[in-house]
Amino acid sequence: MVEGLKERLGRIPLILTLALTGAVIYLPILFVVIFSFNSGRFQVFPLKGFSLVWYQKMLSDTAFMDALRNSVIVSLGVGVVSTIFGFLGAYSLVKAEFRFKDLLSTLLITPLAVPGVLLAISLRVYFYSLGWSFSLLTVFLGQLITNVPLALMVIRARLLQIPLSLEEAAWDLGAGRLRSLAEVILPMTIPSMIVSMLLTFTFSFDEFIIAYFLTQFELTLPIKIWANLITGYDPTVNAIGTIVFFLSLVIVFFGQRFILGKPYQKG
Amino acid sequence: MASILPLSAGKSNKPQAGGRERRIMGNPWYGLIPAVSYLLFFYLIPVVYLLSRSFKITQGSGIQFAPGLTLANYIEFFTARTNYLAYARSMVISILVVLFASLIAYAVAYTIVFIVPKRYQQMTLLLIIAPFWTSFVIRAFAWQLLLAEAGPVSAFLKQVGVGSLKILNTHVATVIGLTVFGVMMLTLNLYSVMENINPNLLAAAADLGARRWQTFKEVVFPLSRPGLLIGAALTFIISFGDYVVPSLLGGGVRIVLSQAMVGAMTTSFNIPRASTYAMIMLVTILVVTMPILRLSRVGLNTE
Repeated sequence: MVEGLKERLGRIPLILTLALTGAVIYLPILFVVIFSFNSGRFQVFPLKGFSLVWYQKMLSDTAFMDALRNSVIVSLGVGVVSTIFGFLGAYSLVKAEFRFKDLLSTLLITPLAVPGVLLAISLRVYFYSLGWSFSLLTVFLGQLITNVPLALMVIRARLLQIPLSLEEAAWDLGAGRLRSLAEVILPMTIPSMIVSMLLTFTFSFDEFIIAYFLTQFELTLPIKIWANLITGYDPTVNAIGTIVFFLSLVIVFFGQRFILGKPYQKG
Repeated sequence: MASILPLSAGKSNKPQAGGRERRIMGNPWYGLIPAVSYLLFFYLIPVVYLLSRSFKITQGSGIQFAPGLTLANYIEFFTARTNYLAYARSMVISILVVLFASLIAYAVAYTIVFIVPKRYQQMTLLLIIAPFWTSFVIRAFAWQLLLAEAGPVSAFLKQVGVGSLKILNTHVATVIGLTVFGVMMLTLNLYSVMENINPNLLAAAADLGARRWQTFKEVVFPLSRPGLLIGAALTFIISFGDYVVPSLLGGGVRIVLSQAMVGAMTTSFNIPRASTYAMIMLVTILVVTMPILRLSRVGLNTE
């Protein structure tokens, strides 16, 4: 294709838009990172000086460490259980034939289109009327609502790529369903299950509104951050934000390599 | 793998013989039991139960309901000014967010797919959408710092002579915060459809004498429409139902629908009122997104 000068010039606004969008996305986070290392108490320029005092404060704050521990427990549970439910469900959706299958597959993904605040309130009322008390268990049950469909979609996309004949070949060679599942399907599905686990772990770890409505005394990290924000400016949040942001970023970049099927360096 | 594949060519789905094969070839529908029963008990029933409470009035402790059905909550909703103002705010904010985010994300996705060199494409996409998966609360907090009265943005605006503008605790801040989120959501959806556009189509259009703009209008845009529509629908749902961004950035005074819903639940503990808001939120989302999603099916075959 021969390109004229005009077309080259036409690209400049587009590239600028891309660069500006990137800047707007990362700018707020950059400020959080900068201020997490600022020794001053207030969020104003000029910076007072470099210090790790907010990180020390974070580590010595037992409420924060408890919240972190709670978050890790819930997210691990959500990641593992969503992925198991998701795998079993995806396998059946791909391999089984039954009536209303299309309808069911649609219904299974509807939780992703319902606002979280609505799910949170509906479960709060439900658990309340069942007489359950609110704890990390109810948070876990609540967060599964969106994470099971997510895991199911991620794993189903992978299963659809595996030729049906591979499993049938295993059957022809005398393997039972369980054995063919374990030795043929599972190894090929593991990457998507890792992605599913990473994504659901991250989603659960960062999830706020459902956890907020479904726990009472055992706070998760986003609730703790929220509580500190509501009561007034607290620079410790900068330190926590920085760490959580980079952790999530690392997990996503790692997971993305599996989602995209190949390392992103390759063209 | 290739040596196994031809086996499937002549096979049928029927097992050859024997009970063992029939058993293992059986329909493994039961794999759906955990997911379906979980979602039945912790998603479908709770949501339906909540929505059904909108036709009730509380009695006693707040968790008991007076017998009989009533439309009183809906009448209250449509006659109280604060209610429909909250609804209108949510609607206007969501429409603005969808519009801004669609425009920006379209330019971003187009640039990534058609202008950024092939080997940097995935990296660029990742950079743009990665924060999508990081904490919503922390990102809202970050915007709070940036837009605060003594924050960097107002300092900058003062420097360039715009004067002091109050952005934080107005819904301008809500729109900004949600638009950034919507841009990521839409870019992801648009990228996946644009990337699938066959480059030969563009070359063919060029061969037939189409200018860049014509190629865009006749080829790229129609083929990318499904991604645009799905991304827009998802962005609408998130903007219309979000509670975090309106609370942290928009402030607690001129509340939106989700804040009214949470308020009904936490401050007045009025379940029927909260469920009326929930019902209205859900119906609005259905009414707005259904036609969009139906439109997106048209022209889905981009091969």
